[in-house]
Amino acid sequence: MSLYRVIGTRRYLEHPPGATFEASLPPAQVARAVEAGAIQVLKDSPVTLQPGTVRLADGWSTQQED
Amino acid sequence: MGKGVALKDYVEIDGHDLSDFCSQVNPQFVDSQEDISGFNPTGVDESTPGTRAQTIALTFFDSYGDGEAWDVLYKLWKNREIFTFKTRPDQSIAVGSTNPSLEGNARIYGWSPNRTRGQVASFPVTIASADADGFDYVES
Repeated sequence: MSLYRVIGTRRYLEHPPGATFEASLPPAQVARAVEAGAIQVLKDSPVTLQPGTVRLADGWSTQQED
Repeated sequence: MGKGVALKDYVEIDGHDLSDFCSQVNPQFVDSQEDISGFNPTGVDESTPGTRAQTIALTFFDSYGDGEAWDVLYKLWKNREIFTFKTRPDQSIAVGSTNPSLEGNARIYGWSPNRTRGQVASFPVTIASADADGFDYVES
């Protein structure tokens, strides 16, 4: 989740101007909104994988093969 | 929500609230009708649905400021972007079973703004579903 502030004169994602909100938005959408002067990125949290939430598919080696 | 006049609709494109610039929302969801008729005693056609096309025709007032209709929509068409679309009957109340939100990912495939002397400056935009999920109504 990243933190954004609505800086334009119109609502963005139903948040009024001046409001801050958390959301996980596609990078392209964020770029367009920033360029349009609609939002400001206050805290950018890149997508990360949490330990234990993913694993290799069955049959995949866990060691590098030469 | 009972009978009423369309006045408070919410129209959101790519996150931007464009409700105030929009005066018409016209979904056109159509299944092709494929003829699978064989010879039969009554001669009546038999058909089955084929492909499903989902488009929504919208009308916007000309507005060129940052985050306004022209600014938002032209860039989405020019750069062939996929964007989110949402609309619901009443923007003053939350999405619910009596105020369902039509949502989906969309693209704009054409740009044809018209201007006519003496008439309110507005332009049509038709958006089409951009993925297999299509447009659908959500109630929460």
